[in-house]
Amino acid sequence: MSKLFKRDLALIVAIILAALALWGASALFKKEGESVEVRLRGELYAVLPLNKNAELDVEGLCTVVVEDGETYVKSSTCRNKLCENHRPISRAGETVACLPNGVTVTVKKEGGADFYV
Amino acid sequence: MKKLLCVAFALLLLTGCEAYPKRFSATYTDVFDTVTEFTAYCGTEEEFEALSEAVHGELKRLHEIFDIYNSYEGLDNAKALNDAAGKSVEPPAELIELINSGKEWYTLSGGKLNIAFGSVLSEWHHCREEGVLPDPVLLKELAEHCDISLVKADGGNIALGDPNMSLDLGAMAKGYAAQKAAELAESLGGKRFALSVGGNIVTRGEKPSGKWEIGIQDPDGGILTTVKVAGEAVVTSGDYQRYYEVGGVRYHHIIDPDTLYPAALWRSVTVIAENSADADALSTSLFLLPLEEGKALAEKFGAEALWVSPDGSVIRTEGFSDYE
Repeated sequence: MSKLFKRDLALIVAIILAALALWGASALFKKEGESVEVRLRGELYAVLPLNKNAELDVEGLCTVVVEDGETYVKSSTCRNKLCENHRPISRAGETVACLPNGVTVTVKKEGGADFYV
Repeated sequence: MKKLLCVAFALLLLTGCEAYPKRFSATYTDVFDTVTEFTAYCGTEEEFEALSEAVHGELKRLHEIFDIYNSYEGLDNAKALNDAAGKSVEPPAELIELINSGKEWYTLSGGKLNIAFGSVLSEWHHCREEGVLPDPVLLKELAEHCDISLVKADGGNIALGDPNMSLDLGAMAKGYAAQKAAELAESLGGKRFALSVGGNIVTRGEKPSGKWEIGIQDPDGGILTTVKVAGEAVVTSGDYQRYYEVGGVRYHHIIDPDTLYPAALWRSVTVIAENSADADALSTSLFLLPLEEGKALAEKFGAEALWVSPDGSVIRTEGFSDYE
């Protein structure tokens, strides 16, 4: 094996190792905690940790509550109150929506399904 | 040797972009009276934004065409057609296509899926908003105006032959629109995406980590099972999706045209099919049909289905478990 080829090989291996290390690091830091994503008319409005009790007023339209690892819409200015009557959610990807107000509340977790039907 | 190095570099860069594109998601709350989520793997955010904008625009366009509650200037939509019952109008091609498909589904479902059932459904809709029950005598009177054979499609013209009849495309429009929007996204270069229009899910390609995973809800809460798909459509019709309560009794939104009351055969039916429009119409039809008739209909479309009965037992078509 020529000296040049050996050096090439070493470089290739080094590059691959560096790439793997970078990928591993990014995957490690990307790991999200469990959270609740609140959107207003499609735009991200707030992200709340799922493991910390909280109450969020969304522009006076809805009140979103996080309680004991679950989240629900406590009150809303809408007429049909479908959102208020929705059971609390806690599984990855589950959503409660108040369509008249354009508010969606979604549980974000690692390892859940992509969608629920 | 330098060549080898260059090739190795190029390969590394290529696989880096192709195998690990980023996941992006967008939510829309202004179409089809439901929550729509579009998730795609794209190289850049700009690429995703362009796709998402196109998908959202297409869904908005179709929403306006199939809307039975609102008018839009210069558009002969479903509401315009209902308002002009008795007269002929020239609606957009998509409305004609969905109406013709609706007429076929009426036959396929043995009369269970009826897009001309608008008069009865709008009474239920009104009662749901008010939190009261409909008058059974009124429901029977309204049901006299649901004869789909009076919906006449002639080339570019549609006429509802009974001035008291109205169309409700709710059982078909979302699946049809999801199909059209997915086709558009595909034509714009989208390869790995999933679109859920209120639970009418269309998938294309796979995620970098494998197939798309769709959790099927247990009507009583929790997850019944998860199906893995890449390219198929998944739709569920269930009594837990839209309902209201009067005197402690739950009334859901899928009305049996024979009883004029919410169907009681199943708690939910999930369908996996190639085409999202078929899957949507199938899931409603199967929700309204007895098991054997439903199975035969699913087979006609090469679709798989899962039924949850009122006692909680689960029935699957033979091929359904291949997706679990």
